[in-house]
Amino acid sequence: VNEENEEFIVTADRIRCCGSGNCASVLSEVFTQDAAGLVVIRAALQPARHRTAVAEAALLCPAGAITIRGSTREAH
Amino acid sequence: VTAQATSAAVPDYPMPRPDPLDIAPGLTGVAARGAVGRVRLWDGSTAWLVTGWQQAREVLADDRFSADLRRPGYPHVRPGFRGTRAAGAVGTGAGGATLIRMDPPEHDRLRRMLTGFFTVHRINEMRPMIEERTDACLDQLRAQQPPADLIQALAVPLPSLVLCELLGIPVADRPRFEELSAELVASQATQRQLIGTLRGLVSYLDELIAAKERAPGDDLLGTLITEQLRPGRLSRADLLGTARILLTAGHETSASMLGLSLASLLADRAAWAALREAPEAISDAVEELLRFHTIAQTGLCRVATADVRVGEQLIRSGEGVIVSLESANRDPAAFPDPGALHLDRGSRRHLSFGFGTHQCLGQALARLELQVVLARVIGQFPSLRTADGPEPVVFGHDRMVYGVTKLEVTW
Repeated sequence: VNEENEEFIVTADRIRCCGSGNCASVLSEVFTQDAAGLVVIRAALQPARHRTAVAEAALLCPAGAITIRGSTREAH
Repeated sequence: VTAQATSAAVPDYPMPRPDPLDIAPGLTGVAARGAVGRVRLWDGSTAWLVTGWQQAREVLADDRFSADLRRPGYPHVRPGFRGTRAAGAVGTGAGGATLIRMDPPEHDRLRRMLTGFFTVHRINEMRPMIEERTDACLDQLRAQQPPADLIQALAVPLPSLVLCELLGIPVADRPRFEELSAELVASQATQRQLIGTLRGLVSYLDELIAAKERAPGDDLLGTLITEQLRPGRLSRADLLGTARILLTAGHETSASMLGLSLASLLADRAAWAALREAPEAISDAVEELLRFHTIAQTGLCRVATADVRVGEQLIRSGEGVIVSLESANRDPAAFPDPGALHLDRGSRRHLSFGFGTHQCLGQALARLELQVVLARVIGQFPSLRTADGPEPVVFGHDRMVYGVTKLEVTW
């Protein structure tokens, strides 16, 4: 199974989130901020084409609040 | 090993910067010996200097490193450290706690009262206002006879005008606010003048908060009064401290970055022309300029509150740590060809806004100001160039925030 072609799950820890907005700047299709500035994930299940940008958002997150779970198969 | 035997090998910090548009070459020397090295400070004490990108991220994201400068072992980088000492002289009673020197959980509680004002969405809504203020500065510049100082005409006033809008400073007060705010940024000020200016500013902010307590608007300070001060979640001293830190963190930093970006683009006509041809490249260019001109030139200071291994180095509880953002931003493991300015690098991985829970609250605003100003200046003054003369560009070497204090241009 090629991971590159699979959907994946993205989660965000709103307790850790410090509202930097990096994720929302990098990929507004997946990440947004609520009125208090905290991260909101638009949909946990994401298509493979977002994997690189979501991984970049996770790397840039200063609070380490974003986690990617490899594939749907792995998650279930 | 005796203290004397090691002292010869330990370089002094901060280090001199012979090329004003580059970082101190000595930093590269420390970095070459590993991601963490020892440096000696002005008072003879030593601290760990973290120079690697990965290690810098680790330290800044680790709560076991405290940002509280009152803790023993905290590295004080300069004797008359601008801002720090002046703020200390004014006293915390007059200003309240400031976010950047607090640790979790107090830090996080206060920060979360503010994050809503700095979301990407809310900052983007400020674009037309920032464009309008930038154009007003440029109209005034155009009305002058060249040469003119771009720092006084644009880089210093613009962020101050934006802060007036954000904080909700009444139009009638703006000349006073701008004057105080510009004095605080002025490079020639002595420590004594600086303390006087800071006292003036704190007393102005105190009056402003008092006026807003009577009639809070929907601006940042008004909202904090309604939603946090009145229900007792925020003390008045902490509100004042917050107003002060937003001002100091939002003015000199943006002014410095604007000045350095303009100076470096004026020194590189090919880059200037490229951005003129393709304004959509401005956003990537801003990220690279932020990386290349890391304005927090003395780094971010922390003190370890536990024994922590960073890279191969064990840092003991109570030891001071300085995270060199400049070196981290030149780490070849993170940025290929790090010593060159590649405006199309397209990386946001620089640590110019710091990392961890203290990462710059106003980063979306700083980015937007830079994007708007560079696009407007290049678009409206395509033939802008550095003026002739003995010293058209002056750099602020001894400042906490590195920057350009004079940039004389002609067009």
